Amino acid sequence: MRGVCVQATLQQGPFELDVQAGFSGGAVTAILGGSGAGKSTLLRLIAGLEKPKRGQVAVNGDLWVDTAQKLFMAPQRRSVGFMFQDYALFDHMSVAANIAYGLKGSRDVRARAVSRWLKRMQLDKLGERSPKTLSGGQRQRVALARALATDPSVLLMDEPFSAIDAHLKTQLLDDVLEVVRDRKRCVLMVTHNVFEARAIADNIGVMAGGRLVRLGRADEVFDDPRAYEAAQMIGWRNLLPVVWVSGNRLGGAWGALDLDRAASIDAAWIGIRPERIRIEAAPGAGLPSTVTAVREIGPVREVECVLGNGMRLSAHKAWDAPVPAPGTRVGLVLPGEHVRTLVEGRSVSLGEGEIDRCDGPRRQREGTLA
Amino acid sequence: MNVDMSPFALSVQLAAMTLSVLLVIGLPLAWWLSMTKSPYKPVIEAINALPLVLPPTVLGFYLLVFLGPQGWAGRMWVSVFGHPLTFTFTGLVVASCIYSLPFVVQPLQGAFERLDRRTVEASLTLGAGWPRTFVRVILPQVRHGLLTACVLGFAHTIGEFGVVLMVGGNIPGETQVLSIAIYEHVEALDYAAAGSLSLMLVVLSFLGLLPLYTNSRKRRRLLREVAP
Repeated sequence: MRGVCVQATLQQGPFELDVQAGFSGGAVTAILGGSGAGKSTLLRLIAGLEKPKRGQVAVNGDLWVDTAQKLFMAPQRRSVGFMFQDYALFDHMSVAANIAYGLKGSRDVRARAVSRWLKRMQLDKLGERSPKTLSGGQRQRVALARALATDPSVLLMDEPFSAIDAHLKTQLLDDVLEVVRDRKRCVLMVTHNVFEARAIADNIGVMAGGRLVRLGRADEVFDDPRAYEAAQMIGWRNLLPVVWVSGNRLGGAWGALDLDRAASIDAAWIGIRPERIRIEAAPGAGLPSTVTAVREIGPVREVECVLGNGMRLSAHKAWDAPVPAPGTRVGLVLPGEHVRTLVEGRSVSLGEGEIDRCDGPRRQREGTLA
Repeated sequence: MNVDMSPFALSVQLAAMTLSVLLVIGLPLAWWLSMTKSPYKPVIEAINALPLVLPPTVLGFYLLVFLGPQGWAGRMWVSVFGHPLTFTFTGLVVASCIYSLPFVVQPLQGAFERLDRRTVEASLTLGAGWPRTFVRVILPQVRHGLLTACVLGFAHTIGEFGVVLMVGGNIPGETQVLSIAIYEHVEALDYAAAGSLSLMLVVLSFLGLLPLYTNSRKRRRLLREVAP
């Protein structure tokens, strides 16, 4: 597999990062997670700005870090483009000098490359300006050009759009996509914005408590988060704790339901997307509940219900579909095929020795994207 | 009036050599102090700051004992070079370095602490090694701190009296720096010579401090040349 393989543990005071995963080349992987989840630390580990306590980092089959062999490649020797959260531009240099900073070769070669990047990023007339005088969007493009000009194997972006106005974001997302898609480089983008991740990423990784709890293709992760922390991160609100599992039936204080498959014994929670919940007028069908509120959310109506034990579930209905009024007793049907079981506190992990095969044939496996 | 200019030349020479040595020691020390999370950091900072609060004669006395032929460092010096360190120009440089250390380290440490570290990391990830990163990214950002350190280190060494007298004595052409010569002229009631040398010291100190408070275009251009 071409891409980045990380199998490392890093200690920073009480915080521990423990990641064992592969991120494929030629794809954009968005790393989602809350504050302190370890997203930025993971990028810094790959860039060589942090040293792991133990483990390996391999890129396109080359080992960059292997604590067992006391191997640690200095950041300046790694082929990495790093876009920092607020860009870390060199304000004492011109825009052109910023872009040229990492370039090698003769003065002419560098000048041509800078001119190409200025044009590509629509910064043609700004080459001699100081980055301090540019707008947020322009600074972002300078940072992207500077990171990409060296043609790195890995592009790491730490919340690249956090300081950008919403109207600029779409344009910049397009810029990034256009630039990163034309080469087989591995792109890792840290964000806490689910919509941003969905717009740009082929793959999604979710981090919580220093661990990667879910990694998969974007559509798969949004359909089946598998981990409770991942479900929370991507905005799932319909989460119910599981107390017991028996065959394809599971339940908790909220009631019980049947799945269309055998339920995993590890299931700690169940989750379901709001548009998958059916509301039945007869309280006997499904989970008995009471409608507490009906809200218009864009093109849908959200019907919030409270179950017998006080837990809440929300169902989405089309804006023109009839919905029960608040106070109505209804039955909520959670179709087994759409209910997802979620584990809690588990990491995505590669098996023993998997990192040695990172440059092997592409294949789908837990924690590694083909 | 015939004023001996050798104390003036000696003071400038002492200040220049002290500053050179202090920059070599002070830059890595200040960098370490600004970056470290070591539990020993406060101890090192307190030791570094001692010359700021100790009377120069107290510091001079300890240095005399320490660097003298009976002291640990003095004995080692004699065994290597065959002559004592005290009452020599080299002894003055060593003593001045210790006395002026905080005046160089503290402005540098402050500048390094204010440095945007992500720009340093950006430079490294762009393939620049530490020497290039220092010259092109760190130096331009800490230039005001560096200038302050140079001016304070130089001016403080030029003006020192107590430590110099204790460690170097008053040997014309060897250890008789400007401040000692002024003191000797006053003792001899030669106010005209003392006045001339004092005026030189005032002018020299003023010229040394001036760049610190000047923000001319020319200085900015000079700094750009140092760190393009």
